[in-house]
Amino acid sequence: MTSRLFPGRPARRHILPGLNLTLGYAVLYLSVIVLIPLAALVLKAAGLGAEGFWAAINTPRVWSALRVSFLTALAASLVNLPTGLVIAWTLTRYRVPGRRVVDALIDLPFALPTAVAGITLTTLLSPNGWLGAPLLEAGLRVAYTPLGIVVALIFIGLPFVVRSLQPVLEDLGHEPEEAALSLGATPSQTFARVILPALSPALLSGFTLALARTIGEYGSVVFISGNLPFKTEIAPLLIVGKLEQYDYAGAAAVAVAMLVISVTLLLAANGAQARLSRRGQA
Amino acid sequence: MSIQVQHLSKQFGTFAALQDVTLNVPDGQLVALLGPSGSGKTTLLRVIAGLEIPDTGRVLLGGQDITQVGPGGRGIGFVFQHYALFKHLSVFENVAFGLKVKRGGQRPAPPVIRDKVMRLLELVQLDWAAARYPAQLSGGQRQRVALARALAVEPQVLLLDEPFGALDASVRQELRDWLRRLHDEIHLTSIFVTHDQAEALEIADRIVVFNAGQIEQEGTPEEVYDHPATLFTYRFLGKANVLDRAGGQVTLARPHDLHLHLQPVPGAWASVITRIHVVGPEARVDVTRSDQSGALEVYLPKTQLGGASVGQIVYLTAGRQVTLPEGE
Amino acid sequence: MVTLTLVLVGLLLVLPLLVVLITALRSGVGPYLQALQTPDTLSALRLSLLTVLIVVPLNMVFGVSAAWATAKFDFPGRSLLLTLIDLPLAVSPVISGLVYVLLFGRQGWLGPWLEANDLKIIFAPAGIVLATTFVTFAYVARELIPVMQTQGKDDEEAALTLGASGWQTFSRVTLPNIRWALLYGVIMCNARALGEFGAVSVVSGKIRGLTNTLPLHVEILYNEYQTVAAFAVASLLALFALLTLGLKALIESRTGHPHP
Repeated sequence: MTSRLFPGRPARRHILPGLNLTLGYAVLYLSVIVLIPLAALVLKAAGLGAEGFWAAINTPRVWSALRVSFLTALAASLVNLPTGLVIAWTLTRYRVPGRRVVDALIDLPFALPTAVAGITLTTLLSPNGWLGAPLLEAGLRVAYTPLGIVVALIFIGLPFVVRSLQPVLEDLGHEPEEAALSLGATPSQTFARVILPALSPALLSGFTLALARTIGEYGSVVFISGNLPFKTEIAPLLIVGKLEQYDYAGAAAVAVAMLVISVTLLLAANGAQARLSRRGQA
Repeated sequence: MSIQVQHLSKQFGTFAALQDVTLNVPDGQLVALLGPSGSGKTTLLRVIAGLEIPDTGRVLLGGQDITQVGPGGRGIGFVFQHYALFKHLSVFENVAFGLKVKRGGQRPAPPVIRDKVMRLLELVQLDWAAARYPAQLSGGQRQRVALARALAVEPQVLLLDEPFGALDASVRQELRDWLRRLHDEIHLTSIFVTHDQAEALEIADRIVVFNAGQIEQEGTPEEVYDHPATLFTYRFLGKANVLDRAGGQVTLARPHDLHLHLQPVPGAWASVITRIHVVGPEARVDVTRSDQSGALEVYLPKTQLGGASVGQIVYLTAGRQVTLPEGE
Repeated sequence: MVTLTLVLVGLLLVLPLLVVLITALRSGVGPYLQALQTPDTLSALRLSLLTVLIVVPLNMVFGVSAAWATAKFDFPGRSLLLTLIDLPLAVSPVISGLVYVLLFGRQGWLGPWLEANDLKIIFAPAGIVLATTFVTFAYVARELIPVMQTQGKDDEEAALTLGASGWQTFSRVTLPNIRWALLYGVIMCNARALGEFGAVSVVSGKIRGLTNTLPLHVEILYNEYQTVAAFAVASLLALFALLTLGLKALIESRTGHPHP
């Protein structure tokens, strides 16, 4: 095949310059800002030993905090699926006046500092707030209950679902829908059998992003939750509490448990999403 | 300036894009690298331009080894398949780019740059579009801007990757003729890559046929078309009718070289017409021989069809035929 | 459908904004302006702006470097690098602060050494900058990588064949091509950096006038039942947020894409 080797392989392997510089810098920066600090966290937790680690997280209060964080994030992300779908559907299908303002506003939870969101929602939903008072009269207590946490997380997670769905809805267009209707499907059949399956990868992706963001959320939640141990104490708050008591190893243990949960969830959801999109392409 | 490549090889992972390719392009010629996609023709063009680094082998420009020289120092002009015009720059600024990035004393003064760019834009008939942006131009116009931009740095050779690939059929033909005329005017050694045999046959001085990372055949358009060295070249350059297979040899004829007779002729094959399809002035007739299965295609002027119809028995003779070893 | 959307958007997004504004102005314009001009508020504003001015350029340079390396080249470990860049997005803000406490805090790995050299990171502005950098780490890179990947290498190769140097190629060809995506990433990074709360609250120590950022200041005022003052500062942050949304919408209409 090759009749003769070039004397001394060329030193450069790429024509475009700058790989070594940019890659080197990116890896260095990643290591300093993210990897080494995270390694310090894992090392701190590992310093407890397997038994010590288990003892640190296997307390009713830790389990309760993890459960509250996980379940409220799950509930909020589930509520955001239909909510986000309705909003994304309107924004892509209807050319109503003011659409662009509404579209821009969708990212408000993303741009608004979480602490501002926290105190605002608390003021709004507290027993004497604009919405809290009538709701309390109707027998529904929102602020300082798990429901309050869910409301805050719905606010935080909403843009993730809407922004995942919008491009897919734009791409989908009217044709599949019209085809289904022309074949005699009812509108509800069309929605369930044609539109929903086409949207499912985007729905799952939006759900996952919202879940990942809300499961560790702190700023918007601490004000509205009331922070009652075993009731409305979320895992990040427990970490802060342990830090304030100088229980660094304990804080690290809970943090590692949280990281394991969120990374596992993300991997599972990414896998499911990859399967769904493959089916969509076939 | 002449271009020589010697024993070039290039692997991408496990895929051998070029395998020991050696080629000489004499000064002043317009050469076509012709082959199917993935045959290595574009990789060779990019190696000559310095955009890929070969695993082994050398590239010489005017006898000088430039294998180690970067793409900017080789004196080549490269025209990309999708033009790669800088969207944020006007047509004028695009063409001036290569002059403006020259360092220190080598950079011409602004008035010199302006004169030169305008002269080039006149050459490609786009002087009126100097202030426009690439997005405001048609595909053919963008292609000509790309060419002017490549010529601005006064390259020793011009390399074009699928120069007409992204254009409409009519623009394509026009630009093809224009490129040939331009080449006759400026006599710059040029290599272009194409997968369209008609394009190569029409405008190239020489054709290099590529297959699976190797040069299959090289020669003038007539040589390659009339004396194909391999079955691959024969099939790639046009429609092939198999007349006979025997002893590892296959005999073929082009549709234009088959003739139909309404009456029996000595040595003719009795055949039946299965389909007649008229394309403009030409009639394309599918026939099946009584001693063979599968259709053969015959092209003849519509006027010579003589009232033949589908289902009719006709007699088939072959003019020019070629016998080549089987197996590609 | 449209009505339902308007109700949802009104309840979830517009109403909170109104609450901020109305509560802030509850006692009139005078107390509102007064709350914005206290020394503590001004010093929190200064620290917040300082943090943003350090963090955003840092993450911008990183984003451009990471995007150049991963979008223009293929190398072993590339997909691992892409995953790791996204990692900070999956980490709770509180944990993003905690990791630096474990590293630089009094009882941290480097704590004794820092103390011996009279350096302070935790409960000091440096810690706030680090924690904010962690939280907004991926914001610019994530915008640039897909854009640069779609653009391919043709333009850069064209510039090189025309004799441009590596730096000329980057500054005259690549940078103009990615300018909108870069601006978009910077705006989002800026918004998050300005508003970050969880990570910063863990490392700051909330020393008034020294390590208090605007969001932390909002919390302190709110917990002290200085509601008008808390919402006055919050309205300032809400204004920044609306400004961000406006700029974002402007970029989107300039480029014609939702996400350039």
